[in-house]
Amino acid sequence: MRSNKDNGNSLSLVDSRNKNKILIDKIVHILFLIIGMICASSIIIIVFFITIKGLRPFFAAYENGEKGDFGSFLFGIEFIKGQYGVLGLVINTIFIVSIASLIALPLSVLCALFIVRIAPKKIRSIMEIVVDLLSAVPSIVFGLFGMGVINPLVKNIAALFNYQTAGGVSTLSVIIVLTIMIIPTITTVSITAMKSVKEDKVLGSLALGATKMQTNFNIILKGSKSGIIAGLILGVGRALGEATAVNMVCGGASGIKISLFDPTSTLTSAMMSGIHESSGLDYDIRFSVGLVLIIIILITNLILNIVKKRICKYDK
Amino acid sequence: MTNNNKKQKIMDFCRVFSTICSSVLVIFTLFSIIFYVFFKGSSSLSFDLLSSDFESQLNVVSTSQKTEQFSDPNISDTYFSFSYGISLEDGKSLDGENVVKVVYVASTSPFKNLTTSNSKSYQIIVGETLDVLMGIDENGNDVYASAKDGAKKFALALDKSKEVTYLQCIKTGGGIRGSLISTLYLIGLTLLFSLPLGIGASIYLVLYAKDGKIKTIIQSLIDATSGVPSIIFGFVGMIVFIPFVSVFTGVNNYSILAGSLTMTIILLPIIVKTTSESLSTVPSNYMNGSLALGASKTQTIFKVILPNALPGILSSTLLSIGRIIGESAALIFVMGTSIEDSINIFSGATSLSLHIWSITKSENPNYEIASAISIIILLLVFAMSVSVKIVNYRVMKKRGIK
Repeated sequence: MRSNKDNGNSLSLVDSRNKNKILIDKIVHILFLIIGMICASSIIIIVFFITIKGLRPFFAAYENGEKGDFGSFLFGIEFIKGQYGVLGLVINTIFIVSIASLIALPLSVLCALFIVRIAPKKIRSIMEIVVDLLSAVPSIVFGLFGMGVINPLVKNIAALFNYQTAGGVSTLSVIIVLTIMIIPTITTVSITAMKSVKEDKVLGSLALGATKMQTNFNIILKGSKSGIIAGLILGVGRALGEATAVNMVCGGASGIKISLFDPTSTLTSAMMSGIHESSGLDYDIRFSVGLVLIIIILITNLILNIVKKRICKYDK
Repeated sequence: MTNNNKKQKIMDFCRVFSTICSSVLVIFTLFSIIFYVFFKGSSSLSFDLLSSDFESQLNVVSTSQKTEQFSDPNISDTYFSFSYGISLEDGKSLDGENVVKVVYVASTSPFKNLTTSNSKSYQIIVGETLDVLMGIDENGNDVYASAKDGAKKFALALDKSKEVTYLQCIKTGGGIRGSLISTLYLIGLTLLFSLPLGIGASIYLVLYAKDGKIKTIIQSLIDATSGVPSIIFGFVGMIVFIPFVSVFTGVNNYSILAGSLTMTIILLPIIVKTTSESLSTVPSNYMNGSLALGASKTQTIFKVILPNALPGILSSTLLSIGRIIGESAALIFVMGTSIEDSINIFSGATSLSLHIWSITKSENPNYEIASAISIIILLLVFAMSVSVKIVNYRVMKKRGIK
């Protein structure tokens, strides 16, 4: 690496070798930098192309004279051919995802608490394997499970209330499927957070006379708040972006659907259904929906991060 | 005091109970998924399913009786044609329709040497099904039979006809051989693209980049990619990679190659993250020692650091394979949903997940086959997830002992 200046003549051969080495080092360095740049640029490519394609319907008319209207796209309720309004989809999506995460959050936190603090060693390792496997199940299998088990189940539940469903495809099925899908995500992150709560705090709480359970709920849960919210952010992100499973159980109806037993459609399911047969405005408008999806995910992340900062303000 | 204690105990019990309940619920969901998939799919899961084509193959053949009378192998519930030497059985196709299945062919049977309608020779294989038979009996009268009549009538009609002028031999379809092969292609190609890129990027981030703006920017951009939902990747693949591949092939259509390029950008953040972690756990002494001995940085990286980070690279590979097998939303837009039997990386095909998607979107979804494929997917994905754990465990143990 370093040439010896004193014995310049005798070491000239070594010098030239070293120069070669340094040159190779520099080339390799630049090569890796380029690879790093390529990897980093993928997100830029994604955002760039989706934005261009997504804004295209509102700026120029298509061959058949169709042109999207930005106002009616943002505030329209119905999403059907010829009338593209995204507001209904946004409301359905937010409604479904917020209910699913409200159900999944307590379940996963309690499950994580059980794994980290309460369960005996053997049950703990079994539970950890169960959560791992559940998080490895691909969404297509969740979708199949939803079609084969949850839809008939919802149909029967609705029949108890004398309500006729369309074979069980409904808001409720989507909520159940999404809940199952995000539980392992939140649980895994919560487990990591709970494991990192300092043992001193636990011992201190116990020494002050709190019972084990009081300690678990007050000290561990409070100590791992930020981790739990980080898990929630991941889970909500997964639920918002999930397409296959949702498309398989939602039924695809247009408009705002708040009723639990009616078919619904979300941003992702609208993007997915019928894209192979569409062209022109009908095709490009799905990219606009994709753009809306990205923006909603960004806003949700932002809000949850602010919440996280607020809640954990006084912790440190 | 005792009253307080009692209250406390009840509260504690409720708390424990709630955690147990939610844990049981989580276990219950996993097991109900596994149980459903195995219960529905295990009967359809067979070697035939894995090895047979999806499209059924129809051959129209003709043949004539020999003088020889064949002896009945006496297989139960089958009907034997004495003059042609084949045993027939009533069966159901993968779609659930009644079929007449060939279960035995005598070694000298005329069915070993049939002539197809375009005068090629054709040999019937056990397991094929027969439909619509037209023949001529001894008196020159026509004989008809079809699969609807059942195996018994079919065998009788065969015996009656001196010459078979028209017979449909159907190689049953509904198999997933094509999807299996295209999944393998997809995995291979994706790893070929994503591993060098991912490992290169993490080497840059961990070993070259100095703390500063460039490193932070690259790191956060790669992190941001992991938050993008896979359907968006599918859209990007559709408008970027399909046209890109079409530059080489000239056909603007779905292809496995475009699918693997799409999977590559999906996997990059995962590979970069896992590999970076394992690179940064290689003790810095190794690097310093190698440099002090006169090796250049390039030599050190390729001969000292990378071999030591191999377990991390292995686990990122396993994670990637699991993800590729399970991915559906992104690939629907770049690989298409039509199930193919002859696989070419420049044309569309279905991976195992897309095969399920394709089945469930058809008129009469066949849940048995879909579940059988799900069993394969689940087994593979679980195997990947467990192997990652084992690799990590072994590394921890090794490092711990050292």
